[in-house]
Amino acid sequence: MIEIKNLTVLNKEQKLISNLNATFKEGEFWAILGKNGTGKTTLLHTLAGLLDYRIGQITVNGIELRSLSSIQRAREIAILSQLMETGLNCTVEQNIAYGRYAWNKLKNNKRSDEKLINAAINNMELEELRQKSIQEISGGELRKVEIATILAQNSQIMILDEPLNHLDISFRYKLMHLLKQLSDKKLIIIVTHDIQYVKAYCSHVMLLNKNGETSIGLTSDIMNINNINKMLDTNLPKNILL
Amino acid sequence: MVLLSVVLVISLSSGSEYIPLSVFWNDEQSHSLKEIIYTLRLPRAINAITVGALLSLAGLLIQNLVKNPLADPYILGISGASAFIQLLIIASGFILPFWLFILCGFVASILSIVLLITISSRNGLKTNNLLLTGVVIAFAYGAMISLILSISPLSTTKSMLFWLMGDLSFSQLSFLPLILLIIGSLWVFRYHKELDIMARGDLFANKCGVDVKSINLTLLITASVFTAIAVSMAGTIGFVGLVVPHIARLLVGNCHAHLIPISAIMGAVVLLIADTVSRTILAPIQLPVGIFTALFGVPLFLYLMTKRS
Repeated sequence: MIEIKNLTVLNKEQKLISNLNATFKEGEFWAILGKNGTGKTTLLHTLAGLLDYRIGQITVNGIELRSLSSIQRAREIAILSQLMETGLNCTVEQNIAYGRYAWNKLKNNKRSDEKLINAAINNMELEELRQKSIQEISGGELRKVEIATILAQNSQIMILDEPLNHLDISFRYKLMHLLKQLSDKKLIIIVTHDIQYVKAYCSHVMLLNKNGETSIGLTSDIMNINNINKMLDTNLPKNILL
Repeated sequence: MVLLSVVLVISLSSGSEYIPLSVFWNDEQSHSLKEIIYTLRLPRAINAITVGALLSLAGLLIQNLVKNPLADPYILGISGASAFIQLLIIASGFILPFWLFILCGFVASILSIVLLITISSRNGLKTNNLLLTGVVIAFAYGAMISLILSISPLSTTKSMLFWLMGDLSFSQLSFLPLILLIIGSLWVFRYHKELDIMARGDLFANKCGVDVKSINLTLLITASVFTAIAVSMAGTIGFVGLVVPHIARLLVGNCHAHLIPISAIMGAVVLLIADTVSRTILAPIQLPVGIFTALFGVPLFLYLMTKRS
């Protein structure tokens, strides 16, 4: 569970989100929506402990987020970021196995680790690419590898920044379906611009408005055309939600 | 290790005069030949092994740290500080005991590292800041070294140039650097798994739970101390720290569990071969070892690269 109290999200000195209060619990599938530049990615990185926060409080299962060590944090929270680094050469399988670092730190992968790694490879349909270098695969395939890595990490909280980017349409549905299944026992938070997927799969939404205000609640209560237009500062027709 | 042992035997036998190692089990042979090996060739070979392995490991760590395959241990100005102080001592005409001369270079390097980390980590240790600050500091030392060379009398210029190109001819038998190398290598090896993940990208490693900031700082300090020991002992020997880690990668891939020991061994082998050639090719004239590290290493690197591709 992540609890946010009076959080102000800053990008350098610019206030992006003010005085945010929210509680995210296991069993919920959250979507965060907002116009470009409203602070969605900054908020996700802050929630994942990759960025520090100066004003407000974030607790994970009752413990202040910034007091967790890197290992403890990675055991609790897995994050998929938009930026895809490739760095030096490694195979798809090695890359996914790195997701187990927080659990097996300096030991070799145990049988339970291998089970999770294999399950992640199967879920992301990467069987044939297992031994391929990550520098030889396409952008969409690399995205699948990154998602498989956080699946192997098997943290109780999974945060995904625009997970549908680079994926083909059929795989988008498959991924959202998988995340929905995972949200039965875990907390899933995604940032996306695809409102149809949000309506179909997510239980809760947070809309970030341009002035730093937020609308938070159940998808069925919040995802209406008035709120969407307010969030996007536009005047879209009602049928875009169909 | 077999390769290193073979090169070591050849190195101890070679010089102005060929001395077969059989002198050690043949009492009738001249005592003075054993003396040459014990007092001249063995200290020099041990220093070549130590300095080569230290530079290669430092290069591997620095390349990983700044995520730049063209980085070498000297890019952060660590060698410049040592060279500047040591050239200043040579130019001033002070005759210091050799251990004190080495210590002065080492202390200058360490102070330079402290300056570098203090300036570049004011808003957290960022590799780009580190690289830029290091390069700028290195330029400053370069300018000061040029100034010393320009105003020094001709009689001292040659020994200064030798020192700048790397010189193992002052070697004295001391196992301390070798012991530091072994301890340091084991220390670096502890982080082999983290280094594998960090090579994939710092953000990626951070997400996986690697404490990137503290490991980067630890490895920066380790690489800097390695470089400081190497340059204070033998001047600025080029090429080893830049290319030997790549040679090791071409031989064993990117897994640091293999890369760390192979880099150290290959660094030792390359420098030992280069030093043996530098003191035998025009014997009794001794040439700066830095010339031969490049002359020997470049074709080896090009051969391995062509073979791999």
